[in-house]
Amino acid sequence: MPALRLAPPMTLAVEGDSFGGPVDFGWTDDQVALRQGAVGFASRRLADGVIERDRDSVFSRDLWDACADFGLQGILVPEEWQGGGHDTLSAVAVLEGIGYGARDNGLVFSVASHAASCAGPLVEFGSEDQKSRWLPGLANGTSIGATAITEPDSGSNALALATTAVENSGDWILDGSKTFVTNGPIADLFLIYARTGASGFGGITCFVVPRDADGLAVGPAMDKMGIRTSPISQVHLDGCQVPGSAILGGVGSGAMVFSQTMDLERLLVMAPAIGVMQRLLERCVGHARERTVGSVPIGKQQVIAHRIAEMELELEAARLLLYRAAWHRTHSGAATRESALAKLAVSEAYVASCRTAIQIFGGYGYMVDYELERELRDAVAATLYVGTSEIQKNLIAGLRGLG
Amino acid sequence: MANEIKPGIEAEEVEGRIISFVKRELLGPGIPVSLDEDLLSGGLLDSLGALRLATFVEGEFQITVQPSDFVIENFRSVAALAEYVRRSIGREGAGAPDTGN
Repeated sequence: MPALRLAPPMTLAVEGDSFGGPVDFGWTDDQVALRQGAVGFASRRLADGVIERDRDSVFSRDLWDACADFGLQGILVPEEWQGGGHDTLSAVAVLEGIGYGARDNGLVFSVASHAASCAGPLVEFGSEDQKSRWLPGLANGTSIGATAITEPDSGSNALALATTAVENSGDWILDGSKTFVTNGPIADLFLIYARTGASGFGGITCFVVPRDADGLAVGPAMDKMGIRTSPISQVHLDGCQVPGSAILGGVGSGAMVFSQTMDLERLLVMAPAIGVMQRLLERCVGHARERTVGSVPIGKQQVIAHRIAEMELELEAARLLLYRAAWHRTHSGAATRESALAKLAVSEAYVASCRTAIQIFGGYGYMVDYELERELRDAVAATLYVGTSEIQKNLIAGLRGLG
Repeated sequence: MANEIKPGIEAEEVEGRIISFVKRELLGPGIPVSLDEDLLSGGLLDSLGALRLATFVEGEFQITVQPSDFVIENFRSVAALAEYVRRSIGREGAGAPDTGN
């Protein structure tokens, strides 16, 4: 039985006021145990050999399977489909612990993306048939999920789709190309967004497409700067025919499915970053105490001490935004504003934290063996995936009727 | 005779409150919108507009729009959204459990 099935979903029922939302972030004993278990698992299984896998861009199927055995891939999937049945807040707690214990940020990103952008929408919008067909495999990790929405010419506007799906005697024919598909080279199942109607918001539909569907071709893995253990590729659709039962959430609901999926994915993919920042902070404090110049620890110098204080400030602020957004999504429904604020804060703090850590370690921080330069390369991706920092600002301002 | 479905909210005025918000905040006062007009496929609302509409009905009618409820059937038109609001109030008033993910 996956370790993450041991605890039931938590419950919190404290409402905040209209000036900032809930303020009670108390964790249940079960959630604390889940997070501690995640730290232990990730420290034992996901912390070794990362320098080599990063250098060679190697995705480890063995470690993917270990994560599945632990229950990560199915963390949001109800127990009746072999998942852990946890809510968003509990999942964030677990993934924070994973980020703290692991070193393989790419693998963790692949797992979080699978759980949030493929299994997540199937849980929320899938028909009973779709759930029973696809969720058990996604939950136990035997099937790898991916989402294909971004297109070569769509830029940061993910909904500006050129890929089309045309109905033909009850089936649908998909044509177009997708790019930056996380898990693309290894995925067994794709959620593919295509235009099925007019240019409006209601003209997009989401399809569940298995890898072996005729007319679907996966491009070669794309080389990239960071999270190199998470494979990414293009996906091409050339007359790809799927049945009407492949539609997720109804014809024309694709943009809404995508919007809700992004709310969830912003939280789940950023939760590990909080754990990474906590680990970096502790490393920097330790280094500042131990490293001496002229027999004086460098932490005695205000320039070093203040930078560490700033790391802690940014970490805690980002952490609270993430917890609040996860709480909001668990208990209050839509959380676009909250998740966009959290994603923006965490990703930017993540990059800043990595840069500070390298500065504090000096030349050693630039060396591969110290594993800080890789953290920075991995962190930069966080300001780009699941909507760039600029897109998050567009969302936040747009929800105020601006921009 | 007024049919109060929640303190301060009568069933007959749900459509009016939604139309008022759509005109004031999303379309602009000079653009007409009818009860059954397709807001989404017709291109009247973009993704942010739909999200703002969801946020509005949550606050205005004190309901929770679950992620799985954020689908085209419920937001296609003012009439469809008003019906969804009334249904949600009835469901939540009956003590339906929070099924948030």
